[in-house]
Formats: sequence, C-alpha cells, structure tokens
Amino acid sequence: MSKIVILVKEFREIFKSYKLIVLPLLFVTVGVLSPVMAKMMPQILKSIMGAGAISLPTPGIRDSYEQLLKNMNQTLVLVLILSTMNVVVEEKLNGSLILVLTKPISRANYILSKFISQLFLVLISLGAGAAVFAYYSSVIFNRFDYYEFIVAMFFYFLYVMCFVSMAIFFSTISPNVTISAILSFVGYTLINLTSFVAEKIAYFTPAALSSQESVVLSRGVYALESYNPAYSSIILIAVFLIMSILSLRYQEF
Amino acid sequence: MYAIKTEHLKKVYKNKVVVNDLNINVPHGSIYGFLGPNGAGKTTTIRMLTGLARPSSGEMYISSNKVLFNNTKYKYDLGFVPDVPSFYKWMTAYEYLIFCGRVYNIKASELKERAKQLLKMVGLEKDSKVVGSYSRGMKQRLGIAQALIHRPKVVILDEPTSALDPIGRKDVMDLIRKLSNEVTVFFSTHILNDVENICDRVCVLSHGNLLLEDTLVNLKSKYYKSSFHIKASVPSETLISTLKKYEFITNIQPSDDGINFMSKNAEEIERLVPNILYENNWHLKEFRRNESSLENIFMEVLEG
Repeated sequence: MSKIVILVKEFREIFKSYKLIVLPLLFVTVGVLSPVMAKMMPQILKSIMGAGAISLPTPGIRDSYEQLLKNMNQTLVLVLILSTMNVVVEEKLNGSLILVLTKPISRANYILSKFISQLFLVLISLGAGAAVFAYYSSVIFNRFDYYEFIVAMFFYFLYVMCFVSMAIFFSTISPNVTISAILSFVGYTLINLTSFVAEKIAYFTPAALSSQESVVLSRGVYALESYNPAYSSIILIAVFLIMSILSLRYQEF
Repeated sequence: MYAIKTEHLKKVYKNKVVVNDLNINVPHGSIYGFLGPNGAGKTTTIRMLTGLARPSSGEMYISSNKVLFNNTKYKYDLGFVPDVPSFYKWMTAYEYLIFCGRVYNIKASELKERAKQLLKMVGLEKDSKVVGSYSRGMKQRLGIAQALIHRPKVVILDEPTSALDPIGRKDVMDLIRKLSNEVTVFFSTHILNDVENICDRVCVLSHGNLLLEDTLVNLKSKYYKSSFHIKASVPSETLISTLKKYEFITNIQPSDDGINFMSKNAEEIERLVPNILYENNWHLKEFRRNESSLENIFMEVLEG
C-alpha cells in the first residue's frame, strides 16, 4: 500500500507544481512550430536575404523531422533535466524527506516513485508534443509515416530517460541543488560527446538515438544501423536507477 | 519488556565517539526525558532509533522489534517528531495526515475520522491553508498529529520546544502531557523546566556517555537540596563558623551581608537556625528558602 501512496503523492506533486501542465505545453509548442518552421524556412530566408540570393529545395517531411529533433535537443531535454535535478536533493534540504524515511516507506520505494513519476511526465510531454507534430506535419506536408515516427519517438524517449535517471542519481548524491545541476549538465554534455570520441563508442552511445543522421532517412523515416544505442540506453537507465537506490540506502540523515 | 531499549549502543562519526555504550530502558507508558547539553549525543541517538542513522555497534529495540537500518517493520510502532518538522508545502494539514495514514494502511473511513480528531486535538481543525504558510508552532503541532495518526506505541520527539516562542512551547507541552495516557513518549530537550513538569523518568547524557537514568522521584530524593539565605545581626564569618559544625549543611558561602548554604534536611534547618539565633541573642534580618530545581540536579550530575 505504501508503495502506491508515495507514488500517488509524486503524481499529485507534479500536478500541483504545474510541471504536468508546463512541460507538455512546451512540447506541444515545439510540436506545432517545427513543421510550420520547416515549411516556412525558405520564405523566411528569402525575406531576410532577398529574392534570388539563394535557391532552396522545396521543404519536405524530412525537414519537419529534423526541425523537431533540433528543437527538442536544444531546449526540451535541458528543460527536463532542469525539472528533475532537484527532485531528491530539495526534499533532503527542506527536511520533508526525514518524515518520509521515518515511516514504513523503503528508500528503494522512494526512488522508484520519483523515477516512475518523472517517466510519466516525460511520456505525457513527449506524447503530447509528438501527437501535435504528427497532426500538423500530415496537414502541412500531406503525408506522414506514423509507424516509423512512433518507433523514432520511442527511441528518443529512451534517450531522454537516460538523462532523467542520471539527474535523479545526481540529485540523490548531491549536497545541494547547484552541485546536482552542475553534475547533471556535465553528464549531459559528456554523454552527447561520446558519439564523437571513437567509432566503437559511437556505435553504442545513447547519443546516437538523437542524432539526425541516424534517425531520419532520406525518405523521412526512422532507421538505426543497430539497436545497440537503445540497449545501452536501457542499461544506463537501470544503472543510474540502481545507483540512486543504493546511494540513498547508504546515506544517513 | 520495554518500549525502547538500547544495548551498548555506539556511534562513531569521523573517528569521534558521539554515543558511547548507551544502555537505556524506557518503560511502556512513561514520559521519558532525554537530557543533555548541546552536543551530548541526544539527536544522534534519536536518529539511530528512527532509522535515519546507522549505529556503529550495539542493538536497539522499539516495542520488542529490533531496529535495523533500512528496515521498515518496527516503524509501524513508532511516531517521530523532528525538532523542526518539514512537510510537503503544497498539502493542507488534513491532506498530509491522510497521506501519512495511507502509508500505515489505515482504512479510508477510519483515517478521515482519525485525521479530524487529531487536527482538533492540535488546534488545526479549522485551518484550510497549505502547510507552506504555517508558523513554526503550527508545524510543530502538525508534526505531533502526523506522529500519532497510526496510534503508535512509541512517540519520539527531538527537542520539540527548542524553536518555539513561550506560547508555542506551552501548547506543545500541553499536547505532550495529553499523550501520557495513550503512548510512551520519549523526548529530548535541554529545557529542564519542561522535563520537570511532565516527565516521570529521565536520563542524562554528556559527551555521548550515560550519566544517570532514573525516575524523577528517585532523583529528587537522591539529589534534592534546598538552598537557604540568611541575614542576621552578626558578621557573615561568625554565622559561617557556627553553621560549619553541622554536617548536613553544605556549600556555605557569604553573600549580600549574609550567607547562602544548601541542605537536604530543610525541616531540620528551619528548627535549627532560630534556635542558634535565640541562644546567641542574634537578630534575624532575613531568612529565605529556595527549593532545588532539576537544573541544580542536572548541573550536579554533569559536574560529577
């Protein structure tokens, strides 16, 4: 029973803190703007640079995908990390964790509840943004490959969850929010840099899941050379989750 | 069978012994004062009892259940109020009590009644504000309510009045007094007046070591001394030399044209002093008797 109680509390908290409204809204905004920006980009460039300055091909569904991934990578992943990096450390600092841990709630249960609620938040946000994007893209470009897009979004979901679980881990081990933020952003940068370090690492890194080259094919659908980045992402998520639980189980207050 | 029992409990933190070989026995139904100056190891002991810290060695029991770090079983018998309780700021007091009750698997219908009853007991029944806007006193009262929601056998309070103003302090002490019929109360404090008013058993800790553990009645009979002040028509030195002959008069010191001294036998002093004055034809200018407080006992124990 206590397992569900603490999870329900987490869901209520993401609702009460407006995260469940603000984050999906941001994803929906990006979902609307991406196909529109892709369609309008040649006209925008023409108006800036003047007619005849450059010649751009007619934008297609691929441009729309690329625009979506670019927008999500540049802002939304960082926003999700920002909203996750304080989930444990803040409760440690304000003292509310003390009353939770002196009740029959296991520390593993506490971390799992944080993880599941954040997973739910990412799922809702990404789902809402993707749905709106799919609708607008199909209207603007008159075609849309739903199956491939859903698969692509699933792999992107794994990519985002790597950073969310990492942020939960750093929030668990950090003494304050600033250190948690620094560690989370350093981790984000390092994971994304791994795709440039060596070909072997690039073959496995979760960063491959978000790279436009591997995500969007010339015909505008999803395809990965291998599922290794997805497997490594799942393993990384599990490792961060287990390390968060073990770390909290070891900590004294 | 004790409500709380520790056996050779020890906590070493960064090579410093914070709690050393602590053996305490808290009987069921008692209000137990856990005393000691700042840094004595009171909060560390409480953190170990509540599962927030891991003991270096020794064992602890709460209502016969062994306390193990990262084990939740014994927590069903335990309620805890930290010195400054913090809650989820977005919840109301009622919502927080419902949340706590659900953690303990209390049935919904019973839980609602229990939450209302406790809010009434702590004087927050009419409050619909979120906890984030509460004063310290209100948080402390809600802290007590949440600790009682599951009708625990033992309630541990860590310095429950230390951060409160006199009114808040009185409210909280009245609440603790009310609990005496329901649960075993174990509370740490350095405010001795609080202990003297409500505790029936105390222990004193200093530098992690247990100095004494006894009932308040026994302590008073063992350590209780009345202090006296006498001013008479003779020099202080003369009075001191006269009273020094009596073994049951101690700590004789000159003070404000008179003398101060202490004695366990107050009635005998009240008979003896007028006789001495009468026999020597001295005039009594002032005679004052002050009862010894727990503070005197505490200081005497600490000073060895």
